[in-house]
Amino acid sequence: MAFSDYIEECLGSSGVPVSVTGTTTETTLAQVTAKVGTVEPGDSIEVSHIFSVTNDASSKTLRCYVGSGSTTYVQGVTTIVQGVRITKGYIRNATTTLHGFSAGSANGVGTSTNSSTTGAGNWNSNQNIRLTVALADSADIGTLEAYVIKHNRTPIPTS
Amino acid sequence: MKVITGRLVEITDEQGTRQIMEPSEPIPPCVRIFIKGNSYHIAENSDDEVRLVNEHAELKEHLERNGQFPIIPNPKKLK
Repeated sequence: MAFSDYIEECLGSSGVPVSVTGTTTETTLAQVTAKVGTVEPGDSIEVSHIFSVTNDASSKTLRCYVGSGSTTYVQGVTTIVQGVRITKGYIRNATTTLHGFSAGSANGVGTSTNSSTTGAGNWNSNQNIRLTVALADSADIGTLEAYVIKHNRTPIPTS
Repeated sequence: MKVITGRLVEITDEQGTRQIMEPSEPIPPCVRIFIKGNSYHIAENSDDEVRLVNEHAELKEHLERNGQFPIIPNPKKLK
């Protein structure tokens, strides 16, 4: 295995907090683009993100998209103040991404009670990785505190 | 402090079709962003950040509750 075959690159990261209020429209708080040819079958995308939301009874929906038309992570929350989460997208082929889990607080890394899902996303073209928040009560606040988006490729040694 | 308007974009995924809001132009380097309604209020330095937080009571309350941002007056304004 040549070293050039191994990739662990950061596609984007930020510690700048981005807050939204005053709308119930789903709002993009961060977005990076994986250029065509960057991500190949067998690769994976790892997004670690920290959200905080107003601690009240109203719903806030946090989403992470890995590839267009593909919700890798969606979770409805009400009372979290700070939460760190890792979302994975495994590139099964050029147009299918396997997601370790789909939704809900019980469906995190290591779950054995919820099935995985797949999503579309044509990696033969530029694909966006986005983090969004939608508020049910426009008076609430949702904040993306920080995120890191990594692209990984670890070939199996042949000799 | 810079203000950028948002624009609605329609997307479709396994949860159906819905509209999301995205900034109408790239966000410049900054220290904090506050999206209120369809406007992106962007603090490009620490002085901006203090002003931004103090101008938006709901953001100030949110930050004080979460204990993330020391709400201090701008030293320049104390003189």
